[in-house]
Amino acid sequence: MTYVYTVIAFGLIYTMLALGLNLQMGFTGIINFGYVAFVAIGAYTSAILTVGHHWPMLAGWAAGTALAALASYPLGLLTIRLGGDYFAVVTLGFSELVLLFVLNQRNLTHGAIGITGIHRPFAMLGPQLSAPVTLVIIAALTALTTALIWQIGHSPLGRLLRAIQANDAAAQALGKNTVSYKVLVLVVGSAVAGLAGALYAHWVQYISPEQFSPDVTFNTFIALILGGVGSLLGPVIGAFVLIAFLQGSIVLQDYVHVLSANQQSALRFMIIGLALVLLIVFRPDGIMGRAKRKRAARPERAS
Amino acid sequence: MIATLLQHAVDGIVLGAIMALPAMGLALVWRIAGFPHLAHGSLMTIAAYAAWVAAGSWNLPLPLAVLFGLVISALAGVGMHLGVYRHLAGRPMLNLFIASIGVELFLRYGIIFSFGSDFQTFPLPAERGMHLGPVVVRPLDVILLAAAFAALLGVWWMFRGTQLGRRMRAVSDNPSLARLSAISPARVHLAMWVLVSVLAGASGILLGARDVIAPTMGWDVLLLAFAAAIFGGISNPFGAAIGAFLMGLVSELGILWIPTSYEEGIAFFLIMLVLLVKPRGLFGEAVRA
Amino acid sequence: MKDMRHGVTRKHFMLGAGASTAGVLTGLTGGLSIRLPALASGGPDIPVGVMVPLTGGGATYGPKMLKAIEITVDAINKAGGPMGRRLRIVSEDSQTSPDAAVTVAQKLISLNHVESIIGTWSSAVTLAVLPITTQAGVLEMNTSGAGDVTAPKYRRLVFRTQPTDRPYALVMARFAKKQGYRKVSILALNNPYALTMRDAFAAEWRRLGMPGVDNVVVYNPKAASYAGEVQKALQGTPDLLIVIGYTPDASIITKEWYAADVKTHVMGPGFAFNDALVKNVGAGVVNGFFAVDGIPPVTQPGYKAFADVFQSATGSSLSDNFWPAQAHDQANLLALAMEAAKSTAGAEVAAKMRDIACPPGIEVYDFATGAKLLREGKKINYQGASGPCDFDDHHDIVSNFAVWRLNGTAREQLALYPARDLT
Repeated sequence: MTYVYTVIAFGLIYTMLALGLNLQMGFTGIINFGYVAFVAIGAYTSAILTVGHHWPMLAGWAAGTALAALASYPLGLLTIRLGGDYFAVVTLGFSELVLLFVLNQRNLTHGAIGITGIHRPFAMLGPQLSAPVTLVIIAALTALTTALIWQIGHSPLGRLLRAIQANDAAAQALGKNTVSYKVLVLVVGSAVAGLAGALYAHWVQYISPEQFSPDVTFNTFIALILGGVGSLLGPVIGAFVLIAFLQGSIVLQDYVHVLSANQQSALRFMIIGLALVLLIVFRPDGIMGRAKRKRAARPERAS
Repeated sequence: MIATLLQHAVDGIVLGAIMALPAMGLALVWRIAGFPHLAHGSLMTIAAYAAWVAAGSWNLPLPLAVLFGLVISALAGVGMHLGVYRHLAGRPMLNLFIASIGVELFLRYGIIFSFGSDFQTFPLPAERGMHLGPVVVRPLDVILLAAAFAALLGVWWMFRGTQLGRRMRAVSDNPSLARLSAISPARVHLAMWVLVSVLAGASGILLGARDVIAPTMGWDVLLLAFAAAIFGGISNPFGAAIGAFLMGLVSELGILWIPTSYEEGIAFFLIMLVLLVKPRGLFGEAVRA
Repeated sequence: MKDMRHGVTRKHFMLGAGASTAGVLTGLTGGLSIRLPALASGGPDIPVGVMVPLTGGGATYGPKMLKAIEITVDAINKAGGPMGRRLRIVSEDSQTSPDAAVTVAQKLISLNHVESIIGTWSSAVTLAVLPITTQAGVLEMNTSGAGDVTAPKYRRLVFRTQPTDRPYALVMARFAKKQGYRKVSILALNNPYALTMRDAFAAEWRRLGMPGVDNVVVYNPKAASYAGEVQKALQGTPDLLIVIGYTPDASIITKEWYAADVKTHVMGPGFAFNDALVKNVGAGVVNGFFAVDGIPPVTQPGYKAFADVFQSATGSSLSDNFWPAQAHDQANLLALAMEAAKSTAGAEVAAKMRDIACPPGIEVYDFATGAKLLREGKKINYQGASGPCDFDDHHDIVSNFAVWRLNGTAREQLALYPARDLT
């Protein structure tokens, strides 16, 4: 069962990541290339505080969430005025700096060796019981995050955010300070990433810099595209389809033995690449095919 | 101390030359097709592998092997364009960006599928450096620098002095107006992809000869090249190349004072600072080609 | 009308996506009950989890480790297998990624019901897998050198066939002193193994009363150029440059060192300074390099027999690097310990591991001979292709070490350091 639990846990964690990124990108058009940095900040903060300083787990999670949000605030304030493309590279640079810091500050982070001995909640129940309990907690927090983001999406703020995305200049002309709203969205999205990172650390029970490569950011983008940008259910579906495919193709290998093991492994990623391309070309709004808001902006396609 | 400084400066220029070719290509793709091309690294890798197969397995003479590598990377670039990117013209940038991640994954793991993950080397002996005054330079690095400068001048000349260059500029500045004046954007795009693929392929082959050939070699350089391009001004290929050289210089000189394990950090930190002051990159508007 | 139609498609797709997710999940849970029919007489097959890196940073080494395990398991099964049961390899790609390794290990344990996992390669991967295997009572064998791998909380179920990083460092320091080197620079990869080795070297160097290490330069994997790093390490022309990394980066560094044309000698671990390095940079270049490694028992029949089989199966030499030989030994040790324990349960097999691996006992080199002796009630001492495989009470390997001078692909042994001096 532990495998199924982990598959679901990863699905939920990627759901949270996709929700946070969706908030940033779907509602403001910000492309955050350095998203993984905030995941890493959340994971490392909670791991360092709970393992090294024996903080209670909830406090560790809260600190991880808060620090990720806090780190994104000055970054957002400084860079959000840049065009979207340039914002992308500054966030990429920021994430590289965060990862270099994690890799090299060995006193704090144990460098490349990573942090072992991170506990799951209710570890005293034993591994058989603590896994499903942890899973329920992660699911609850994912649901809470979804609700929160739904709330934002349907509040006056949400309508404003959509207006900003549709036409920044017009929103500005109406006297709305678009920059501070964009920063707010960035901070909330980063806090979600931080929380997801903390949950990830406590589920896997070990973190090292290798786990926070840019691949995490790209995977989140992929999940988001699979599900469809801007919708609420999109990230959930995208994350689970991505994880289901990744894991399903591993399980499938037990029954199919045509190629050498390394070729099979390579083939999985080739298929992911190909699927991504086909999806973008034929179903750019995700598997669910939501096409409401952006329809006007794009030439009509035969469907 | 002066000798050390000079030596590190030379190393920095070489590192810049490695990044300059893909950086120029990234800028051209950005300017004309309008998206950050994440599969650019696999163009480098494919060229290196093709040249390696030609030189190592078919025993072709080296110049022919290099030519073969360049042809293959050009075909790959054109293939990406015709097979994928062309169908996405006019879509939001994010679509093209994600599609290029897909292309990158497909090609990178296609190489692993075909050749394995093992790294390879060209059948070239290691070489002694040449002593030029106080500094030592590897002969291969001289070739690398020459290639980078030739590419820089070539692209400059093409942009400024040829009809193709004017058409590229026209298409990138205003596609519909270009179409009205009987310029075929399709042809311009095709020419652009051949050009950037050859640039990337050349840097891949040189990097493979200099270091080792591995399935992730292009991908590993890509983020740095991308950052260099943004640093110089992503819409301007010359700015991108200059950005690459500056970034190379800064990182190699920086490690004289800062721990080497922070080397990539030096460059990224600098870029962030520059962008805060000049949000369009160093040469984003100043030297519009 | 249009919206209606759109609504239908959308629902369709949701159903489709939901169904496929559900399908995979049912597949997963369904897989729990799948048992393959027994092929041999002694009972059902024994699934053995193999997790070598087939993609990612370790992919240079993983495929050959897998090959070595396949050859060895074939031989074990031909000899009847432990307790007359066949071993069945369930191989998963660790992707050299702790993240992927976590799910893959859980898949091996819950879907394939393995009670032992062998072949994990990088320290980060092994450290990510250990909480899972320990909680599930699964035996774990790896080739990871980082200290934490055999920490007390994991030790009972963990064995590593890779010497820890410490003996390498001790031998390097003692040999460097013997050679009369005073100015020493280190170029170390930024990863757990290299940094541990670097620290152990510096400590031993000080203990030997030598001046501090001149220059310690840490380089990141995947940098576009190591020119600056090598320049910095060679500043002031040290007597000796120690390169702690793997073959790909050691090859690049060697080219830079050769171009710099300095008098500095070069030393590094043998698994990086191997035949592949010589092939990459050319035979003349590495002449005079010092390679430090555990002594492979090249003169022993077990090594020789496997080296030939391995060479003919893969076309590459077993001496290229340590890991295929270790993978071979892990498979043999596991099968022998199962035979000795008369069980496949992780804890029971682990409890017998040192019995069959350490002296005293009749020295055996393969499963067939060992299993026969065990059934006769004899005490055996497995001697592997990677070394004597004697686990100490930390479940770490101790090995005799040597320093070789490279001369093309030939190696000349210069100095021998017995295991007892290297703790």
